[in-house]
Amino acid sequence: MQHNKSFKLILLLLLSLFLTTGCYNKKELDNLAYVIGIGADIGSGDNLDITYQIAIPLKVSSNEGKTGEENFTTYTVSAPSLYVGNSKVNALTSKEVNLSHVKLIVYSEELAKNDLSGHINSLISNVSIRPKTTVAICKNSAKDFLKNITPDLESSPARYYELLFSSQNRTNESAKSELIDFYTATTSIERDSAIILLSNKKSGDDSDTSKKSGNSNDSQNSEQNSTGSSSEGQSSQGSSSSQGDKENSQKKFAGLAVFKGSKMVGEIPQDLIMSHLILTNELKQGDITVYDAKEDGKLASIFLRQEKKCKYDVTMKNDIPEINIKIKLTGHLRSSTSTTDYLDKENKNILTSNIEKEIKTLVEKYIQLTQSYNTDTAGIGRYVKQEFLTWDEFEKLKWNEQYKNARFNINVDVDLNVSRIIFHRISNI
Amino acid sequence: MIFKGFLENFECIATLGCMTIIPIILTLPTFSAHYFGTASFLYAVYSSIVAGILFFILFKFFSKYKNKDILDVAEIAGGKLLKYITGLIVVLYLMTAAVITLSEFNENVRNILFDEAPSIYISLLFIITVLIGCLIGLKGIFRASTILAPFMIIGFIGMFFALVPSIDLTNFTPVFGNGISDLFIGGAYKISGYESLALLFLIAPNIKNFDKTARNSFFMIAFFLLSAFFLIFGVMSYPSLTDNYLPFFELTKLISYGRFVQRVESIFVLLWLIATFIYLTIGISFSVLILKKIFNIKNSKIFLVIACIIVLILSRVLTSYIDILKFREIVSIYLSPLLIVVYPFILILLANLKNSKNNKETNYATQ
Repeated sequence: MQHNKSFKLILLLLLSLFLTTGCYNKKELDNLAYVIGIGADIGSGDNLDITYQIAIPLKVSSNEGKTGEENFTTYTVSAPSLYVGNSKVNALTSKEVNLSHVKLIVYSEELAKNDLSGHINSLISNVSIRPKTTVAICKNSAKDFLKNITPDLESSPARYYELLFSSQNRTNESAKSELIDFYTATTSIERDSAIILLSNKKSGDDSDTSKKSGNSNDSQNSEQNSTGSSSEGQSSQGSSSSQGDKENSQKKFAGLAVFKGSKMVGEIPQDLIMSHLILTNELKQGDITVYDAKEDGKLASIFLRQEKKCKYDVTMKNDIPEINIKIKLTGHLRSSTSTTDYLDKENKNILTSNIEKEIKTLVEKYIQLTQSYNTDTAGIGRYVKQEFLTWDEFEKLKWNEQYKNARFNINVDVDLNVSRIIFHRISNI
Repeated sequence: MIFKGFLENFECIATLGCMTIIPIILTLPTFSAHYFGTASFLYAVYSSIVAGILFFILFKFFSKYKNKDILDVAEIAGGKLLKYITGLIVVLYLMTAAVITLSEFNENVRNILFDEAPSIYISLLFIITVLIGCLIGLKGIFRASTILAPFMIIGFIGMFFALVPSIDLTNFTPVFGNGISDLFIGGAYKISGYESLALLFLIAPNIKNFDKTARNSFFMIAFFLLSAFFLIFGVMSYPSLTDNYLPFFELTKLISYGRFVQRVESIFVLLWLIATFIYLTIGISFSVLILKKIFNIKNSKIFLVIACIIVLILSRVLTSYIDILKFREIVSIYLSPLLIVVYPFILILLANLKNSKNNKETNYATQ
């Protein structure tokens, strides 16, 4: 009898669960607008010009074989924050903005030089945005970058971003630039951040397009919408330019943007990205060209891999850290324009020495440059703090002020492999 | 005996493990980051050693009373009055923990899952589920834990392998974090990660092999605590962690295997919901069962409804997340060691003294 009563009670309560739930806040997938890129530029007054790049899933799925340039649309709104911006875009579009598929967040250089702390805090606390989303700085207008991007070899713009910003896994031309790393570095006292710097200047175009478009936004102080991105780009290219050229001229990696805290303070040029990757133990694969061991003016191309992490030995001398960095790399000789026989040990040693010198020079340049900004973008402070027993002791060192005074000794060791190379030597007659 | 029936060893171990998950995945790592900084993992190791020694001594003393729960021990130590006082203290603690857990749960669920849902809906629906769990009975909850615990263990091991590449050992330095004295003197007291182990004092008469269960439960909790701390503090660096009151959720957001395995946090949310359900059900059920025992109540089911309503109402009072965190800190960090170690130790000591005194008197009378 007692069990029967309990059963009835449980049944009643279970039924009440279905009665108390509602569908007033249900979210249909078809009713959502999936944002894949967010751009922010300085706007009028305290406002930002926030650009939303929104995928058009129907076009992505039906556009087989076509390029991705028509598969997204952009909306630009003037708002003080991302949340207000979302609300404004919701009023502009027939669908509700959803940020769970954002692949790229791009800020204009001008905004980054002001301060990004508030923006990063709001992004990191937004549950929809993934912590591994790529954050980048655009040398010009973020709005123009998102509008003009043309994913030529990929129909899905989201996939295009994923592949583009994971290129550090197959090249030394870009670096990892994730939101969570950026946030961690900005809150840290032991390192600073360096994130991807993008440029969308067209070849031969020295005018600042960002300012032009930004001003037009300011003057109108209204929202703009443009479907597709390539119309302007294509017209500026002319009919003779190939797809590859077009892509290359419209956007490119332009190095790394260097931050002190949450303010951008400088740039690391493209040729020093490899040094950044080596020192952060992120070099998956890269290529370097050095002079031939024997023949003047001839070049050898070497494929590099970082199989072992850099070893950092820190010693404190009169409160100044002296840091020995041991870099160990594995190289494969890919090709050479000379006729030098690299199976010969002596030639191989000379080439190895050339590679080591080249890498050492690059790493030294990188360190000198970052010391000039006083920003530890490679996170060497993480190894310095190992020398201290307590956090207070490390704080007293004031690493973020001391970095510029630190002394570095770089030791590069390259294990060169030439066995795989097939020589096709054509002697000059 | 607070409730009838025997519990298998693995049922107890699994339940205590599931109950430990709640503080570990929610606020304990953040509190630790505030107290110990970069030495938080070292603190987890140190507190495990301290808790291990303390509970070993405590259970050794308690071994005389294996067939009695802590209320019986209190009765031996100080008669009916001490039994009532002990019962009420335990009920108060369990109910407070339940209220804080429900408030915390409500806030977190609204932040990460149902941001548009009215908070009363979340609390109400969850407390109804908890009430059903309480009505089904404790045995059912212990069995549900045995189903959940293997998934928890697999989840932790899976997370470990998924996050190993992201672990940066420099995050554990400077090794002594905010100071040696903070770590070794302050840390010795902060053993709230092992709070669920004190449940053994309530279910001791229901366990077939107390020593084995206590030992294995300790290792189970240590596994969850140490692996969670190693992952959280290995992946996230110290200063940024102090602002994050749901670090385990953030950690799961970092897991992905290519394009196919992404958004693993949904699995975490499911495990968290079930663990919270077990925690609340056990807390409320034991509160009512203790009242039933000390006041000889025959039909306690209506009290389960009342207890659930009280927890719901009080959780609605705690609406500010800052207040919830303050209460959690006071209860978990400062009160719980007193209640789980110091108070039982005093009771057992008093009971032992009383027993030896009685024995002496009996011997004297016999002579």
